[in-house]
Amino acid sequence: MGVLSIKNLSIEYKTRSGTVRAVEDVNFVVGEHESLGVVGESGCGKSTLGTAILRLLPPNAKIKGEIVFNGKNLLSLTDEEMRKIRGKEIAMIFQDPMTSLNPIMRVRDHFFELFKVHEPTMKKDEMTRLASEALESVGTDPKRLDNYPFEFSGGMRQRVMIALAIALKPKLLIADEPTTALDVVVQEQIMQVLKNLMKTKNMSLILITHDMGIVAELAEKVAVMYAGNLVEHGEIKQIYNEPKHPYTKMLLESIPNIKLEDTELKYIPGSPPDLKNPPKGCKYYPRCPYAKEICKIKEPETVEMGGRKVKCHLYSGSGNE
Amino acid sequence: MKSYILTRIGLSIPMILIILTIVFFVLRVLPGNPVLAMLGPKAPPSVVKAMEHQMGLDKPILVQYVDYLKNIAKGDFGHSTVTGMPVLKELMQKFPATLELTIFSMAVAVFIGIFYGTIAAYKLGTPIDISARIYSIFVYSFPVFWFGLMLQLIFGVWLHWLPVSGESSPFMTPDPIHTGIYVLDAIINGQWDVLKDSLEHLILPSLTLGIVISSIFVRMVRANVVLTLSQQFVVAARARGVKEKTVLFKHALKNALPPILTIMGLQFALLLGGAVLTEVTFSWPGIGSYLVNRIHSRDFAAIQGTIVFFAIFVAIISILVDVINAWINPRVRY
Amino acid sequence: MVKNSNQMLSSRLSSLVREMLGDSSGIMAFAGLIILIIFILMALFAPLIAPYSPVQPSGNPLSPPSWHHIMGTDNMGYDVFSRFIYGSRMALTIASVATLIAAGIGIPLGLVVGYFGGALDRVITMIMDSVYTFPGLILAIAIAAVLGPGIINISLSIAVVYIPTYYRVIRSQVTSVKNELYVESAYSIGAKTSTIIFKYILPNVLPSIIVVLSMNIADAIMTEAGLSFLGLGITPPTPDWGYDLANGQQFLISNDWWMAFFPGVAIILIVLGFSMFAEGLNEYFNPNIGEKR
Repeated sequence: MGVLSIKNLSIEYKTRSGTVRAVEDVNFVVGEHESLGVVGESGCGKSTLGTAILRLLPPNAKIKGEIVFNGKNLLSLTDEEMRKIRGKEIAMIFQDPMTSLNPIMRVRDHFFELFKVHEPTMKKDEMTRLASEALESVGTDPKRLDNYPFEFSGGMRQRVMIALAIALKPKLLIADEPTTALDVVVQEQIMQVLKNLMKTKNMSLILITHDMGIVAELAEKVAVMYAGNLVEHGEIKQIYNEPKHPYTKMLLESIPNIKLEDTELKYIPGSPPDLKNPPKGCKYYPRCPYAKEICKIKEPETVEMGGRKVKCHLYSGSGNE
Repeated sequence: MKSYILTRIGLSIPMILIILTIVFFVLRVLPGNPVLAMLGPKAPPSVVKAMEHQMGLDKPILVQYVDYLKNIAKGDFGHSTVTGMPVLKELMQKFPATLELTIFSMAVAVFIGIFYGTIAAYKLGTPIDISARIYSIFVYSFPVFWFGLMLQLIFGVWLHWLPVSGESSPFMTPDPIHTGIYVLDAIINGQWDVLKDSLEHLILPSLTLGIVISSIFVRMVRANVVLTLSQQFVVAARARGVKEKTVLFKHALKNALPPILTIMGLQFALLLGGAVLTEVTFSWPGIGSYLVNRIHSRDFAAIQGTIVFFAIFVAIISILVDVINAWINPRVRY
Repeated sequence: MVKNSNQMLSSRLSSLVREMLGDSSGIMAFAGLIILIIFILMALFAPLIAPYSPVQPSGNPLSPPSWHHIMGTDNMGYDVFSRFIYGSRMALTIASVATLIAAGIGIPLGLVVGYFGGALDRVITMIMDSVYTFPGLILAIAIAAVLGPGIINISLSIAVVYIPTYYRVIRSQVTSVKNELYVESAYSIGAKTSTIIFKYILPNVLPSIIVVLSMNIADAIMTEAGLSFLGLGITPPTPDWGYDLANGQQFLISNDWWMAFFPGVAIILIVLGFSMFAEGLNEYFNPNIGEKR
């Protein structure tokens, strides 16, 4: 059953101007020691998905479906039970490292707070030892435990965030756009840190990003999201070499390739649909070069083919080819 | 740190000078001969001239200005034309009452502001939040003096719970007086009945001014806490399993409060204007009612002296607030 | 051509109105506007609306609210409701004149000083800051005490307090707009300084003025009421809410509450009107984080 199992997950936000369907009927499984990249453009629901796992969504969000972790449906747990899981069994790191640490607390205090919450009997030297270990595993000098966040650069703060996240050896780490706010050089460093961690720890990783490049570097599997739907899911080599869903195809094609002779950058024309009033049928229809009549009317079903899943009429065998 | 304090004081001096200058010229250059105003239009010209000479009003204006500044620096704010006493002395006698009122009103305003504002921010979008926003806009439109009158009506006239004027009942002043702040002096002396009486007299005026000012604080606290709560480190703390209460107090509030307190300190000037109105409404014997009374008796020196006193007081408070802020937040002390 | 642009303007206005009404801050702005209009009409048509003369006895003194005098009568036998209505004239007149004077001095000063900068900027800004940080009411009291009563005098006293407000807002806007590229390009094609100031900078700086103006008139009304309450306002028996409030205080002890109650309500309502209008406009055009989704 894997570490995390998402079943029929749908998330809606109630807003002043209508109900936003951020995530619709998503299903996938994350296995033990597996790294999954969740990709898609801004607003496709990937961040909402990640945040929902730890139940950190704002109060106007409604979640339907199941999020099964270690055999328990997280959505049915009480607040207190859920709180015990956060930071200990499932951890999360966020996008902007500059604002992710409390400016008036030392790094050491961040760690101690974490430990006190989950292991109240832990003694101070044990806490220091664990904290130093965590910092070392992300390539940071443990002597910096006594520094304040403003004494660190962005990249270093992100490392501290990661150290905090893995300190209690969680089974699942959710990384929500961990490199987006960093420059390319630092990005690479953080990717190395994550790669290292994946090698040395028995932990699963969900890497949420819009950058197809870092997914290729780090993930074994990839889930492509569009307008709240999971449109393709499978092993990374499979999907990158032979993308099946038209959106995946165009995403991969739009990555600038220095080796190709093309002078024009490829892009996907049009824009994502309004999530308050999604159209009937396939949401990608207006931008899809392979669109057929049935795509306008009926939502495609998710089909399994050769170890991957695709949600597209081209493969569901319904309607004309 | 020392250099910051010195710089800050240095910066205030031009500001005080400017106000002093404005007051000087307003009171002299504008139409209205103060002596005539004092003695009445029927006074014989020789008496008027003698009075003018005595008050130094026949010297050239620039000489008067320099004398004025020199005197203030010496602490000579002139003599009241009504009582003959040195104005500064009278002000220092009445100032503790204003200080007492101001401190207690500020405490009320800060308490309501932080409490209500934080809860509203935490429960954003709920009826509590909406009520806070309505409260701040609604109470802001209350005239301080009207609100005072209504409180007098309800708690004094209808319920007979509290006194409606003055700082104390007859024979209920602290004995001996140390600071002039009755509540403090009563505690120092251990005179508990005097303490009770002073507090009873203090409640309505402080509530009046405090509640009206709190409308500004509620809105300001709410806005700041909302901003802080949306910061990523708050979400990140929650994501580590930290308890909600801890997230709110140790993470959100501890970061939001310092700038809030600074802004509140800077609102002090607003409080003083309201204090004058409150003192008049409740016949509270502070420098506010002193000012208004002396205006009606055309006590020219007292009016001038009181405005100068206010200017210096405001300057001192803003220096204090800035220094405290720089002490807490080292990044301010360029 | 003229007809078309008028049509365009009115249809744009009506769609703006419809959009605003769909949003809570837009509704607040409208509610405020309605209250304002009611008071302005009240002031304009006072003689037609008020049942009695506000300065002639029309009933037994100190009678509580009744059918004949819905807000009761005061100690001179004047009808409180009529004074309520006529009071709007004093409040609105003085507040508007004061605001106009303050804006009339503060805005051009801020424009010019903000544009030219330099030593002039530093000196004038320091003067303005000093006045701004000094308690406004106390300054107004001092000036009013010297000038004496009268509509122009009171307006002047209040105006002085608010000149720095306009100065600061305009000056900060100007200094930020001044560095925008379109100003630089105007300058480089040889536009005169006055053209730059009035045709380029001013229109971009004006929208924020409406909100400031509205809040300011609310403040000015409060200040005027405060001055009259302290006995520094107009001379009796001219109907004035602040004065009536002060007058009504002595009768509270005998539970004759209506003389002090109703003028205060008038002030609350009109200040609410201006505040809601300014607030609503401001929030609608500049929503804050967490306020709108």
